[in-house]
Amino acid sequence: MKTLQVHDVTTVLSNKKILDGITFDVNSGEVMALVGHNGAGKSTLIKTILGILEKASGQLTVMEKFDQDEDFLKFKQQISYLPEEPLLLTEFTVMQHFQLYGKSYHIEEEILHERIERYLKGFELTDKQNEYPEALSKGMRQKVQTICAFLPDAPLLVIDEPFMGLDIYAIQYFEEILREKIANGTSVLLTTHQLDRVKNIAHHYIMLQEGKMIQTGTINEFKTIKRRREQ
Amino acid sequence: MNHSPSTWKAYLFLRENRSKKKRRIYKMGFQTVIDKTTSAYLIVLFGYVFLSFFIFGDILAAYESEFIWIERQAQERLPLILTILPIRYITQSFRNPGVIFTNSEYQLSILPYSRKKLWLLTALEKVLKRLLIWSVIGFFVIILTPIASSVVISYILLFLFVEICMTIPQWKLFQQKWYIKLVCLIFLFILNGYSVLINSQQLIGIIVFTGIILINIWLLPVLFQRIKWSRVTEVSDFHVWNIKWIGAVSKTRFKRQRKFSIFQHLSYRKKPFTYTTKSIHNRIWQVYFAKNMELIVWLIGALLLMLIILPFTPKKILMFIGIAVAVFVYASSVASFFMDQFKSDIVEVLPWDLHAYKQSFFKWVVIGSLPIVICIMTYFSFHFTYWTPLQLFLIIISFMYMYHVQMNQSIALLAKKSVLFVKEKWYSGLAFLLIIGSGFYPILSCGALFFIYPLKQQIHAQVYFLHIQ
Repeated sequence: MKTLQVHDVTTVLSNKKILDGITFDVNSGEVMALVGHNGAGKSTLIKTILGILEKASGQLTVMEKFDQDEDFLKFKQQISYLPEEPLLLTEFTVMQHFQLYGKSYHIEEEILHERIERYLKGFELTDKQNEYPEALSKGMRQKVQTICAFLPDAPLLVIDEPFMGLDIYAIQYFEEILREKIANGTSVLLTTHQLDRVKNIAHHYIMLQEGKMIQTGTINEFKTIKRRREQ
Repeated sequence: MNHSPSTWKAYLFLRENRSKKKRRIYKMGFQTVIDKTTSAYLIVLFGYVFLSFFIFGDILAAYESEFIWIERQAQERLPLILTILPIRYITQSFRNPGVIFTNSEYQLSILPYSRKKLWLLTALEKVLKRLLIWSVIGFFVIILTPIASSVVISYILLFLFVEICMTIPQWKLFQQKWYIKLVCLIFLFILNGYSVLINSQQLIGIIVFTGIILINIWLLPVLFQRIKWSRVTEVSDFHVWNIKWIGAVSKTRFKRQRKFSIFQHLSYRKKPFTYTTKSIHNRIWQVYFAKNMELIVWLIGALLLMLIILPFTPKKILMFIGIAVAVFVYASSVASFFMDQFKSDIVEVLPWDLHAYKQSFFKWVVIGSLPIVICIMTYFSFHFTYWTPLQLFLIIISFMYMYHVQMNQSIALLAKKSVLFVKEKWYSGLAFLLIIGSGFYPILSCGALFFIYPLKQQIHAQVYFLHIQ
């Protein structure tokens, strides 16, 4: 089963092609790493997949049946997103964020609370559930955002720069949960600069440069990213 | 020997660089929008506008008696304007500190530069900019119209006086809780209403003038006490860099770094929600409306003002036109608010149950409409006929129809469904005309019955043609 199909996607901003003819698939239980320099188009690609940015052309399909243009609401329902910077609401406590995610992804209350309890314990945030984001450190806010993204059983998990702001124990726990999700069939699309860390998790990679795919293959085939001026 | 660095030079350096950056952004924006052909058309257009000034001069001469009337009114109403103008600054204080003190100014004030001087320079710049704008407008009014220059100059001086004297109250009020601002706003509204009722605008004008001066004297020594700097800088950054047309042409959106909330001090709000869509959505809407309070106050205030003034005009039909406009504008605006909610924050990246969001939104639409409804009801209670219930029914059903059409259109756009609302737009136009027509011929109110079925269709539009579950 192909969880995500990206076909010939082009994104234009201010009359400039930011993404040009991107095509790839992510299969069920597979992890695809998007690599590239700053400004290569990684975050733009993720925003295009999420529908935050409008694509100029191409096709995006999830679970082989939900097309972004035809079934946008169902398409969104299949994706859980972990942004690089937390997007938490100033007016919602940690627990209220979890409840917002729970309702948005139609998670049963009992299951939601089981997961919340487990993840809060794992990320050592049990005593912070009734705090507002401002009362938390940056790392803690990132942990909260991570838990939010882990709560749903969405078939596709999109992660923009995993491990950002997480301490070593949180990274270990993050990897543990991620592996568990992958084993259960969740597909992951992630962007990263820290390729060493994801080499043990990712199956395939795509290298982007100036909005174009310049390399793709299995993660074992990946050598390194050249410095910008060498390219 | 230590010399303290010049705050003036540092401020000037900051302003120069900000201007350079803005110029660069504007240039890029213009290059995106305007090509050579468009430039040629624009030159022709500007040429036409320039020439039309001379043609306009002749037209203005023909309306000399009207301008004389405006001039007389302007002279008589000067004290009233003094009492009305502060309302603008108080409504702005919900979202804007008045003095734009961005993160850059704040960073400078952490370095060995005087925060007080930086603030004063920023305030001075604001006043000078306003003075320049008013002077240019005043110049054209003097040149193009027969209104006496003394009247125009006295208005410029009045605006300048209020601008200077309301700078500190707005700055301090911005730091306060929302209900304090609301009390000030209501107080000024009552004062203005009272001044019109007792027809003693000069007395009230003098009271407001003295009050503003005394408030400034009282607040000046505590100008920098209890200032929420993170809030001031966040709002100021947004104000300086959120250039709407640049956002539109570059298809990007300036996102605010929100670091504050007016609700956080209420402990009951920290409790987890009852796990229902309704309670969670309710909070989302509350938060959204609190963030956009100033816009909402402006919208409802403007519609209210129109509906309060129109009954005093000699032609009854104007009131019905006003009601139709209010119904249409309110329905369109709330639908825009609804759509905007899904373009920011965490909600943007979550799945959307748009039908549930629409249902939870309606309560807030009703609450927001109450001042307008009360105003319309008051009008009809003074002009009651046997047709009144049917006229009210037409107004309600027309609003409901327009509201649902606009909302369904927003939902279709959000869901990326290409649904054309051609028939619905015609029906909305018909409802608009029927409201106006019912002022002339009350029997037209029976047209309300025609909208019952289309309204039912719109309420269940998700099932009928949007196919959104």
